[in-house]
Amino acid sequence: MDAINAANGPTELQRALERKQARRRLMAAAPFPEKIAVVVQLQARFAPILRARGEEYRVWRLESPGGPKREG
Amino acid sequence: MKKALEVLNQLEHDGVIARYAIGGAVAAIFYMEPFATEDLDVFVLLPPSSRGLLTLAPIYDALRALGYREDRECMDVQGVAVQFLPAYNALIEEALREAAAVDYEGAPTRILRAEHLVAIMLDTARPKDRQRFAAFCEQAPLDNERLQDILKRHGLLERWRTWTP
Repeated sequence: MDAINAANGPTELQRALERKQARRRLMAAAPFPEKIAVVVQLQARFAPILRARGEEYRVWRLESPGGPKREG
Repeated sequence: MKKALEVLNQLEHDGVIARYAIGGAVAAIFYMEPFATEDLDVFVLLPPSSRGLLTLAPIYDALRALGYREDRECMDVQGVAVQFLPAYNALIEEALREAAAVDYEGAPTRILRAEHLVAIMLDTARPKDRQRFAAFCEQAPLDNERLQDILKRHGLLERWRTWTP
């Protein structure tokens, strides 16, 4: 199997892992505010799943002008 | 986020907090790919109270006076769940003193240095620290000499050897 792989170059799995690794490096190097925006997107994605299980889960509500935020 | 940081800066300016820096997951995300987290962990050095006690109560009181409210163990500050954590040992105190100054969309703030975050993960050693540790060491720009010095001074070299293959 290794001989076949070596002859044919990287396998599809290897290429997928390399793409994933490259994406991780790219995300790690992204500006901090962009990363925070991704965190909030992840929170919004996870919240309904976790709430459906009866768990509390916070989603940040970022940047509205004026004073303190309140539940509306 | 920027507005939450401005509120933290105001608390420091007003002397409610002696010094603060972002730690935990959000600090880790500064150095690595983002992942889901609920809280903004903020380590604080507190000015001693008149009775010599260190308490988070003045922070909560000041935020309540500004109209912010508690959300379980956090305060909801401008839409961000902020958890205040007092510097509870020498490692955290050092990490707070040496935290990196960072600009967040025009708001100055501080974030614990990557080497201190590694040391704190090793020291805290919760399952989620161990889970995060390998990815963090792979992605974060670590100054190995600085890291080894911190680990040696805080008695964490043995755990570092156990956790790193």
